[in-house]
Amino acid sequence: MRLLGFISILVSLMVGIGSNLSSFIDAPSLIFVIPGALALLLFAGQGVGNMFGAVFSADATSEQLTAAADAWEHTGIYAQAMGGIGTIIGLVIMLKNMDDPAALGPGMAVALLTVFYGLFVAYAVALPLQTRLRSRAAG
Amino acid sequence: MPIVGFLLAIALLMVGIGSNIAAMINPPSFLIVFGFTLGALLMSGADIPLMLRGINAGSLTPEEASRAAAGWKTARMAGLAAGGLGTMTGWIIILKNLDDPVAIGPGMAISLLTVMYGLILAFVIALPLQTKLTPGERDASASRGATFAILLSALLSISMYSILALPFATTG
Repeated sequence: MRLLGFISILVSLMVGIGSNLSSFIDAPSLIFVIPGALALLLFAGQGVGNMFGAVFSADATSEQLTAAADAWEHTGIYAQAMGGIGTIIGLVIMLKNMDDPAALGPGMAVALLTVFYGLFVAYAVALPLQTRLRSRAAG
Repeated sequence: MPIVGFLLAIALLMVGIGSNIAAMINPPSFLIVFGFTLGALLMSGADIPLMLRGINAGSLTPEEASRAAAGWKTARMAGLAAGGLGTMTGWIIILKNLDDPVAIGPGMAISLLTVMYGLILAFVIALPLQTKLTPGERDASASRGATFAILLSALLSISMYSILALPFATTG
């Protein structure tokens, strides 16, 4: 049922994206947002292993579930923050290369797609998982 | 282990910046963000030496740790606020000098880089330290801060794209 929910999110996004899928994939932005959020989780001392483990294990304790839910909440926060930082970096790269149209594209891609990935991680992955883990921890 | 996470985050920032590092350094923006944050910390009576000792979270008593975490929370909020104020400062400079393209540059730099410095201060330094000092405590203001960051950067994107389009609009 949960997998069905995630697939439904992806399908609804694909309706919007349509045939432009290849312009929504940008390796630098992906590397920036997802490993960036995980690196900040490590720095904050959140249990990254437990965060993934608790989602898939059926016999996690209430403390483990709460800790995993907190870690997912922070994943969303850090992904959005890295998205914001990436936007500024992309805009600066774009404005710096105003006289060179070939260099404008990559800056613009970084500026827009880091926010896109940040919002996707925060609201399509972290928020549903966090809600689910909290309700499992509560009862 | 935590320090590995910090270094990895800095390395990823460098990957994103690439060869444009010189364009990311702007002393006025740096002064706006860090001066504002320092002022807010001093005004709120935060114990700055204690906050710095809190970087090594294990060396503090629980009571000291919660005081240091409160200080880092103030720094996080002040960093974001300084970014927002810096953006508006930059935009006033841009709009005042719209007829002089050379004078627009510094305004653009301030409006973009104060936000970037504020976000780095808030989410790469202050929030991880706050979480590390008070593990297991939820702070609803953190996710509100992330929403603010997204809105601010989206606003900046839209305004930068529209100022890029301005020459085309005026020539018809």
